[in-house]
Amino acid sequence: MNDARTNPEFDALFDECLRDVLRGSRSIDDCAAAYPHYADDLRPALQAGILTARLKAPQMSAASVDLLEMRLRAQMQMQASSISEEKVIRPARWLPLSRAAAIFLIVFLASLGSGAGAVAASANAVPGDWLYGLKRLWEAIVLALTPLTGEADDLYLTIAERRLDEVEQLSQRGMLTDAALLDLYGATAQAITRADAQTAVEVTRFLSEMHTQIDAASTLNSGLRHDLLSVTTPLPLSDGRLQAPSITPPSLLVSTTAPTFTPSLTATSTVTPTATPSVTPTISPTPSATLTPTPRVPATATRTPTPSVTPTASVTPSITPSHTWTPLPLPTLPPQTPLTQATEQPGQNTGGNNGSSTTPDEQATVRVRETEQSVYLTQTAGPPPTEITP
Amino acid sequence: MDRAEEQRLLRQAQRGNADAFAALYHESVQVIFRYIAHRVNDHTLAEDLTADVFTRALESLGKYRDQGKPFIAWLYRIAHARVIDHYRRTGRRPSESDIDDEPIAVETDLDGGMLRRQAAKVLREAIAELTDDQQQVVILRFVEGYRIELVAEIMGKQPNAIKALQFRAMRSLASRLERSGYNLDSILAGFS
Repeated sequence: MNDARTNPEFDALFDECLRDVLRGSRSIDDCAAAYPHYADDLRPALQAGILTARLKAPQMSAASVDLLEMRLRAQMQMQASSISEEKVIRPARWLPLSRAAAIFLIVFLASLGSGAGAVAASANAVPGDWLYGLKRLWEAIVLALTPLTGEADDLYLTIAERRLDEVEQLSQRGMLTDAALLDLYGATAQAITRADAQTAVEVTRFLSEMHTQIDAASTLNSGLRHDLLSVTTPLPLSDGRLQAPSITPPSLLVSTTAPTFTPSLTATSTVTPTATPSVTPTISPTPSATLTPTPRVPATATRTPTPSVTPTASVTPSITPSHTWTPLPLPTLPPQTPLTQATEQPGQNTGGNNGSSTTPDEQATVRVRETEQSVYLTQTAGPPPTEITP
Repeated sequence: MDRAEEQRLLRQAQRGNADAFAALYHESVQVIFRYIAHRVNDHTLAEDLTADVFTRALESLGKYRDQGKPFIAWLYRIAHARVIDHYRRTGRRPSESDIDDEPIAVETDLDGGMLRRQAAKVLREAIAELTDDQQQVVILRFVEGYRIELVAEIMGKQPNAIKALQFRAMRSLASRLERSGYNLDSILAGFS
C-alpha cells in the first residue's frame, strides 16, 4: 500500500474522488477500483467525507438572530452618539486634525449649538436633502484645514466615495441629476490626481466600483456615460501615482440659472455662519453666473481664509441650500499621452469593466452545494445555508 | 449578494447606516454560527461567540478596507480568533458534544437511526478535536460547500495545502469513528 500521507498527487486525486462521490457521479467502490494502490486510504476517508457532508447544519434560532440584531443596532446608535458628544465630529474616513484645527472646530461647532449632531446626521444626506448643504460645508472645512494636517490624499478619495454614494442613492430614488454626476466626475478627477503611491491601490479599486456602477446605469445619456467611464481608467505612473486620462469637459452642459452655492445655516434668529475656508490653491474660482461646459465641484474655493461665525441663538440650525453650484474648472493636468487602451489596472475588476454582471471569480466559482445537494439527506431546520460567492 | 452590493452596504454601514449593517449581518450570521458551532460543539456557547464576533466586527468596521476578499472572509478571521481565545480562556477543547444531535438523517429505518445519531455525535466531537486548520477546512469545505479555491482564499493558503488538510482531516475522522466501534460501511449502507 502506498503511503498517501505526504503525497500531493494523492491529495489531488482524493479531492477529485470526493467531488465525484458527493455529486453522485461515482461511488466509493468506483474510486477504489480506479486507484487500487490507494484503495485502503481512499475508502475510509471518502466514507468520512460523505458522513461529514451529511451532518445536519446547526442553526441559530430566529429569536436569537433577532435579539442580536437589536443589540447591534443599539450598539451602532451608542457609537454614533459617543462620537458626536465626545469628539470633534469626524465622519467615517476623515483624517485626524491637528490640535489647533480641532480646537477651532470645537469652537465653531459649539457656536452652532446642536450643530455637531446636525453634522453627524448630515453624513447620509444627498442633494435635495435639507442637511446636504451642511454636509458639503463640512467637507469644505475639513479640506481647508488639510494644510494644517498635511494629510489630504485619503480625503479626496473619501469625498469621491461620498459623491458616488450620493449618485447611487439618487439613482435609487429616481432623482439622479446631472449636477450630481458632474460632482462625481470632479471629485473622482481630484482623487486620481491626488493619489500617491500608497493610496493609488485604493483609488484604483474605487474606480473599478465606479466603472461597474456607471456601466450598469441605463438611464445616463451616452455622452455623459462615456465621460464618466473615461475618468475611471487612469494611467499608472512609474512612481506609483496615477495619471488621469485626458480630461475633456463632460459632454453634458448643466443648465442652471443661479450661480452660487450659498450654504446658509438659518435658525429662527438667523444664525448665518460665513465660514469660508480656503482650499486647494490649484483650483481657481470662477464666481460668475456664466455657464461654462466645465465639470463642477462644490464652490469651496471662493473663500476668504478667516472664518467668521456669528451665533445669535442656540437653536437647531436649518439648512436651506440652493441647488446650484458655481462652475469651476478642473485643475490643469499635465499633458499626457492618449489613453491607448483598456489595459487591466491593478485591483480593477475586469469582469465589471467588461460590462458583464459577474467577475471572473464569480464566474469561476462553482457552487458545490448546488451540485452536491442531491446527496444531502439532511433537512436543515431553517432555510439552507446562504450561498457565498466571492 | 454580489461584491458590488456588499461593498456598497459596507460603505453605508461604515457611515452609520444601521440598515446596511443589518443586511450584511443577516447575510452572514448563520454562516458564522455554523462555523463556531462545529468548532466548539456547544449551541449556547456558539450563540454567545457569534454575538461576540458581530459586536467586534461592528466596533472595527471603520477600519475595514476592501482587500479583494469577500466580507465573510473577514468575519471568519474574527470568528477564528474568538474560538481560539475561548480555548485559551477555558484551557480545554470541547470533548462532549451537546449540539442538537439530529442524526445524519435517513428517511426510514428507525433502528439505524439510533446508530446514526450516535455516530453523528462522535463525528462532531471528532471534528472539534481536529487541528484548527483541519477544522476550518472541514467546516468551510464540507459544511458550507465552498470550493477549494475559496477555502484557500479565506484561510490564506494555497489550494494544494487545503487538499492536504482535507485528506488528513477525513482520515482522522474515519480513524476516530472506527476506534469508537462504528463500522462506516454499515452507517453508509443506510443511505443507499
